[in-house]
Amino acid sequence: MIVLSQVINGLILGTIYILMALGLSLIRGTMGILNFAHGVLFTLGAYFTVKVAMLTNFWVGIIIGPIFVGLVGMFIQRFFMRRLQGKHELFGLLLTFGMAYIIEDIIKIIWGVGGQPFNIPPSLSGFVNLGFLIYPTYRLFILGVTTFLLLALYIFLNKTKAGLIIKAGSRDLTMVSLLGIPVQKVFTLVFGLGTMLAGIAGALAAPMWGVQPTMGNKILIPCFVVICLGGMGSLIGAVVGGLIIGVAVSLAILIQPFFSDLIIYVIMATVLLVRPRGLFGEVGEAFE
Amino acid sequence: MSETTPKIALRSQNLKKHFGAIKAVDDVNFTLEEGTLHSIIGPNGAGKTTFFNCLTGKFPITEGKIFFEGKEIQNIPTYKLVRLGVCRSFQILNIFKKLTVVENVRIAIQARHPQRFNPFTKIDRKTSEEAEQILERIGLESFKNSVSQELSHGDQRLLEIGITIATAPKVLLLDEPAAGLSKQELQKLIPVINELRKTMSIVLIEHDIDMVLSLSDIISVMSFGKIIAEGCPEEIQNNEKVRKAYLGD
Amino acid sequence: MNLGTSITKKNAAFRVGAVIIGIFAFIMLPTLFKSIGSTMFLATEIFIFAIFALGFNLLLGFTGIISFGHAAWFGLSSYAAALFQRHVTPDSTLIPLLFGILFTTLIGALVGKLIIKTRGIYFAYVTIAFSQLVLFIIIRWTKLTNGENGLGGIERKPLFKFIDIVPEFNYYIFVVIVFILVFILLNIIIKSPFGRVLQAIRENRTRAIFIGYNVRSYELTSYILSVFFTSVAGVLDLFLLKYAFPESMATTMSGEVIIMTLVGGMHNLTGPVLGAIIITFLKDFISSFTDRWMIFLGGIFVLFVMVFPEGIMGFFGKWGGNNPFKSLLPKRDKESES
Repeated sequence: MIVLSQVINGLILGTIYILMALGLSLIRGTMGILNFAHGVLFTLGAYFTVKVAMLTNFWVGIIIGPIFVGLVGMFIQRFFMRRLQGKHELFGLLLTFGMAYIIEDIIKIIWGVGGQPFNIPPSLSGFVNLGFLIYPTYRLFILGVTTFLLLALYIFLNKTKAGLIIKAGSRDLTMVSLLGIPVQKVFTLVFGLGTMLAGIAGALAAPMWGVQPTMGNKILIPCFVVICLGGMGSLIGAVVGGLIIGVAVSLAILIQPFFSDLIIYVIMATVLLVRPRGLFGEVGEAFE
Repeated sequence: MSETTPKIALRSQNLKKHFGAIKAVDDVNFTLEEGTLHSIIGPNGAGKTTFFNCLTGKFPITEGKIFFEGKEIQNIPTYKLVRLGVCRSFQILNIFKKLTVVENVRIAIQARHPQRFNPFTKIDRKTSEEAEQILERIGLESFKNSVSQELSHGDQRLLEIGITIATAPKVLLLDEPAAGLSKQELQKLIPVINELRKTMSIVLIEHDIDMVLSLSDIISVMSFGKIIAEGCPEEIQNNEKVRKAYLGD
Repeated sequence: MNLGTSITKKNAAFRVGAVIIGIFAFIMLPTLFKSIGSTMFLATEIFIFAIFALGFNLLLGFTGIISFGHAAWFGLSSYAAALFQRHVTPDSTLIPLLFGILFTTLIGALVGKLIIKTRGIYFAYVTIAFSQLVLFIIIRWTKLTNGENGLGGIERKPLFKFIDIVPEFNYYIFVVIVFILVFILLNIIIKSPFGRVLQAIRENRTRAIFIGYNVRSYELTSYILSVFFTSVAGVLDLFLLKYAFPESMATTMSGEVIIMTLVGGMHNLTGPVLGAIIITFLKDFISSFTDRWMIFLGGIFVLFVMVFPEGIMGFFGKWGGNNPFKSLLPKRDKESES
């Protein structure tokens, strides 16, 4: 029974990873850069949600908070990254790396280094009897929200015009620009969308993990590993990788808490040794 | 694999390279006799460059075999192939743009030398002299200390060939060396190729038909991944199939 | 005879000049520092970071590979040396020092072998992840490493009977000598045939493969050499601080070494040294009145990426007419030219 409940915990953790990894993948696929600020934007999502929720209520907070994060992302893209257009990809990496430092310290300056209280509304606290298991309502809520979001994202990317442009852009950017689509606007949109996903992940995780300035650092590495495992450039890979890592981490806790952190690295090393391109990665993109 | 009178330098046997459903190279049997200049022509997208990429180990091949001097080479990594003596130039300019002309060539010569991996020696004079000889062969000796990206397009093309021959290939694969060249620049290139054919076997991919007809010993015509005709320049000129597929008249 | 943009005569003369000025500066620095209210400690630290930055830059500036986790090697060598002194040779400084370097280089070589097959952004992922793994092991293995509190009680003993590095000034001179050796060694390496190949790989990796180089083994060697120099800096730092801290392998530290190279300029040897001086000084200065060093660090990142991507050396190089630091500059220029 405890194993089963850990598996469900793992799936929920996995969905948080997926939201993060999808954002990273979308940004990398379209713009060709690694967003080091993704972890700190996750944190920012939690803070925005808490602060908005304090002024209004939980529901408004969890919707408005991530949108603010997306706006911050679009701001960064519009006023910083866009000026790096045509430069070596290294500079994009360095920019987001520096941004991560800045945003983390800004959070500390505005809201202090300590944690923030965040209470979930009564309707989501408590437990649900699933028949075979009694389980916290809030965690099921996360599972529901993330599943819904993944479906929505899938439909967005495959059925809407904007989504199809983004998808096409991640495969062949030159083609998209030849079609007369303003590439930089697509970039801003994608960066906003990707960072908003990070914001959502942060907002959802906030009540479980506690809201504090360094909460994002903990999640960035597992997400890198999710992408390594799933395969660079594969959205399905991000989903499968996220679930596997989530469940693996949760089950490892049962053996010893120590292992839950270690297992991530073990998985990464194994992937590098056995199948460096990951489960769904294409050959030739990140390797010879 | 029996070595008959004209020695075979490079040979592909039932070579296939598929990208998903697209058969970029489809069952190609290609034979390069030693000391010949063998051209491959064909419309864009016929699979010529992909064929080169397969020969030089850039892509893993789907099926078939490649022989170099009678030895199977399809699983040998590119850098080792180069050391064996198969080297190629690129359709898109591929030189070390920020390095000087002589350094471009020198780096390539050094790849053959055992001291290449030693981090604690100086560059020896012999390598530098060899580099200057190659620059003379391709007619770039007066530009040896220029940064290579400052050369004219035609000279960069020549440098590309210079880098390639600096690896001392037995088989030289040239991928559209005349692409984007002016008439005068072409006049510089052709003698260089004629000079090179004396010492090595050459496979040439080229769109400039006049150049191909005047230089080649044998011509193969590729279309949709297959070799549809092969023969000496006159035969190819008079071949009905080739006219239809390629010459378009 | 001298080939390559980065090694023209003018530049060589410039470098010799820099070295001579440097030697004077080494002797003068501590005095100067004291007069402006700073310390010998800081002067020593500057040269340790200069070694770190030089080692890191062999990989970034001369091979074109960026590691976001090099601090792991810096910190690991500190810990290795610290543990060796505590448990094996409590009366020696030299042996722990050598052990720290050897051990770290070995581990670095193993990790390097594993990760060098990845490229570009993927490499960035795995370097940062492996550095977190090293940090994680150090923090969690509390019995051995004392966890987050770090390892204290390290002592600086005379190197040999007659070389006394215990007093602050002597240790400073010792570090400076090591720094000069590292500088000379790296100068030899980047001018050697091997070093030229690294630069060729940086310029055009595909072409390097197609002229017969086993590019990956060059990249791996560069990585290992870089870890080696980093670990030299790491052990020197240990015997300066007399304490091994987990912070020395945190991502912030990796960021600092990147920014040192970026600020100074990455395609020569003077750049990282200059960057190390500036950043170490700045950090010391800013930390004296605020805890928010990271926001400044990030700000410098953004400033240099956006405004001076070629670093200070490159920025001044523009007036010299001969700018050997171009290759990471905007691609736009090249394309409009050709």
